[in-house]
Amino acid sequence: MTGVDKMAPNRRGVLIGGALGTGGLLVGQAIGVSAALGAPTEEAVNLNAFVVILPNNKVQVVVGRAEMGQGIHAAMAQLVAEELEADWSDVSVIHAPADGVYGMTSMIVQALPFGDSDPDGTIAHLRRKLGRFVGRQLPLQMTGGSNSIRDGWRHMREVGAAARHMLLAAAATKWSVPVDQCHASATQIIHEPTGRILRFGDVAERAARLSPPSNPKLKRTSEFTLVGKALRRPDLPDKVNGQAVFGIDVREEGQLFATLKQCPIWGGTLKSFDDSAAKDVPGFIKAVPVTDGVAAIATNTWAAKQALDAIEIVWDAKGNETRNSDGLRAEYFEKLGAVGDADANSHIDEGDAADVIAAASNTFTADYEVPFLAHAPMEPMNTTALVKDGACTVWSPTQSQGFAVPKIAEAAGVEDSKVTVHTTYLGGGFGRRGEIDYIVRAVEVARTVPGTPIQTVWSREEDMMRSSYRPMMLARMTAALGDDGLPMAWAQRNVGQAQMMEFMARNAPFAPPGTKDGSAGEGITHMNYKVGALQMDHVRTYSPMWSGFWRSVGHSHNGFFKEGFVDELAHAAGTDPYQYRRALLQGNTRALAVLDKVAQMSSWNAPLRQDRGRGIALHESFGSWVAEVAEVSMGADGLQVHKVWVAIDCGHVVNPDTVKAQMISGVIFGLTAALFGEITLEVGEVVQQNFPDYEMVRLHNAPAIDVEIIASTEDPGGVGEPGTPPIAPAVANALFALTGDRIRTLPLMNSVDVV
Amino acid sequence: MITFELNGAPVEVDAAEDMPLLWVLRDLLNMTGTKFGCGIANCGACTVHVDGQATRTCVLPVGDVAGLKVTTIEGLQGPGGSLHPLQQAWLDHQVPQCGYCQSGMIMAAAALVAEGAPITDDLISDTITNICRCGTYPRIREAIKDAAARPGQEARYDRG
Repeated sequence: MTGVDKMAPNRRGVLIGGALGTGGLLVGQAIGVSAALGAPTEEAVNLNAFVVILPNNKVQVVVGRAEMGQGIHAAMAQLVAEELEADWSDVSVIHAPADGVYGMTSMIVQALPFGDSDPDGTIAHLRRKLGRFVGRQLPLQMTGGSNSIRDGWRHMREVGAAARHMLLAAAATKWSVPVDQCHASATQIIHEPTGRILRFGDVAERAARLSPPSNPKLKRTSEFTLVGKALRRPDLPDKVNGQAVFGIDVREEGQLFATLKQCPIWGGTLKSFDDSAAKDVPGFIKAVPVTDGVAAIATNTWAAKQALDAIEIVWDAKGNETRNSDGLRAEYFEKLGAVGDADANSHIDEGDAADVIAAASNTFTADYEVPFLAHAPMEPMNTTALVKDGACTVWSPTQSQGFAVPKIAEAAGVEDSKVTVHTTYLGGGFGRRGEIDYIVRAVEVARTVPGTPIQTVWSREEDMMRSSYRPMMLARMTAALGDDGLPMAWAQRNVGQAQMMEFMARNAPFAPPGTKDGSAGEGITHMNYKVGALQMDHVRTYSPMWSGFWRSVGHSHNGFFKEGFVDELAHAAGTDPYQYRRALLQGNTRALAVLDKVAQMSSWNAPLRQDRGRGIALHESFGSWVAEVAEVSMGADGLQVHKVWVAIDCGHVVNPDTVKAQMISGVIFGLTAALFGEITLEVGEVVQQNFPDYEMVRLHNAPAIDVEIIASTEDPGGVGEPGTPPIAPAVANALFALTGDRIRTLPLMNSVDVV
Repeated sequence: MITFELNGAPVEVDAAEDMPLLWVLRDLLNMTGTKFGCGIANCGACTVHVDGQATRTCVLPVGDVAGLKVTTIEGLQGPGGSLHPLQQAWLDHQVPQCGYCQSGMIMAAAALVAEGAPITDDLISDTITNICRCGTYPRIREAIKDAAARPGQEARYDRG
């Protein structure tokens, strides 16, 4: 039908020749195509795994990163189009199939030696080539960690440049002229001496038969014409007219629908079910067991829901979580002060903080806590799956193509090579769609009706009660203070689940587990502030209830802990919190620049209305520095956040508009959590089921937000997550400035009324 | 069989009277522009116009729209695909991020703008309670005010 799957090209991409080297070989691999698209119209030519040229001279950039609102399809396409010399109006984006060539290979490259060699030289080139070759063999195709631009910054320009070289060489051959008399511009090749022009589409087939250059020279950043510009996202027109296809919008020929219920008590399993009442629901087909639950299959989603509601399910509670949130809190609190806990892992220990604190005459201690948080993306979990003839195809709004393939294969009972993943648009991700559970459930369902595509959609309740939560985390921080009120030592203990270790164990079981959680200390071990001796450990706790990646991960709790505690130290010293932070940054130019910028934007030094309070916070995460100021009031209806100012240094910017949008996004996401976000547990079952239980910031209480980007030529940092960690402390600090009440626990609605 | 007008054309569906209009649209008619977000009319992702009124469809029985005019996001465009001023403003301000909530958001905004009352921040706050998890609220406000100031214009998406 029209409009469905606009992301895919009009027919299978035909690979002519190969492109080993910067692009990689896609032998016989079609770029995601939906059977619902209808008759093919054009012959697409893949110049490499990332660049497709159509005879009508349009360019499709193949992006292996999930578009979940961060504008990554646009930004990656800008990088490719810059070096390719395609006119932006000719460029569209399609999502890549699941293939190792789209992996995040930079992390492998970074691990190799000779990292300090000239980036344009031979050693660096060979290093990248080796890293990418190794990376292709690993399941590294994923979107997360605010890493897409950092990973693609050079790589995407190289693939664009390689494709341009091939087109130029093909044109030069066709004209029988030296290639250095030709240049590319606006999706055309021009022969300067004669003014002859060929379109990319005219020579694409010939170009695809050529070998790409192995180390193409890239433009100087001063020569950029697309990168750095606020170009409009090519995916937005379909997002204002209802045409964009999210996972839940997939409609394949003959598709059935299903919905499911997994054991609401974490750790419990399915014992039995009775679907006799479901048989009366028109459209019901059958009920099938899935991992830890039951799915109802029907001819439409509504019938599936009606049928599921009519199914009597008996759960097996053996081995499940039995605790309440209050009980967990009490357990965690005990561990905050315990000595010699076997599950305590040190994350940093420099300068004998314990000794300095013991000897100090002035110390300050505070306990902070944050709750479990669900992601609650607007599009609930779903995937469409088809198991047929020893193969499995899924259409999924997924962040983790690499991890998904083997799990799909296992669930379907097919070989990995027989798995096809079509990635749709995501209606929000926030880390939840990095998990594979909702894909595997759909495959389990589809396997019971081979040959028929089945879309398994989760209800909002299921989505909220079965998330991969940001874990509840308690922290105790102690600082030894000098006569100037500045810290001489900082000791910190966090207690809570190990979200990264749990995620990796679930999704990347082949990876070595390690002994401590990589995210537990993030934001503390490299906190930018000079605090003297620094010691931090994390006591890991356990539950069948999943903890996992939630936007900004360890920074989401450590940002609140650190920026609240530093604020308390500032006030204890009688120093302005902005000046106090400046003093701790001693020569840290990038951190100082964002802090000074946000102070200037918010007129920090100017007097404030009597009824308003202002708070400041600074946090570095994912390679970027972000400082925020929040201005609040406490009226009759409660706390209101009027305005937020954000300054970000993310190095080189690809698209400044998407950076600003992501800062606004990160702030609203973090603010929602700060004001209202709380997932609680009662006898192992999540209490919150739908939005009334898990309130959201909406238009009426969303603050105005100003964003400024620090101009920089440093390597890019991430932007998807860094806007989130500073907002909770900025608001709590503002509230303190206004009322004198220090709140160390989130959400704020548990301490004050909130508008 | 239940008959109603959908985006200007009569449509007949073979559905139980109590089947929510949302699922009639999405699953029986394959009109997937209107979205499912919560199932309890709290988030607004399922908003359409029924006789010009912004209406959440996830709990609205299809029997209740028999003989009425329903407009979905797919029907907001003018003849020949010309964008509604709100859609144009949404693009000019680059409002959507993931885009999932935007069908419902635009339909809610379109009903508000069509009422013709002067658009103020308070009016927007009081009338549009849709959830956007990506936080596009500041740009939504700008786009609504912008569109309300220039109704009825033809539009073209210039990628610039």
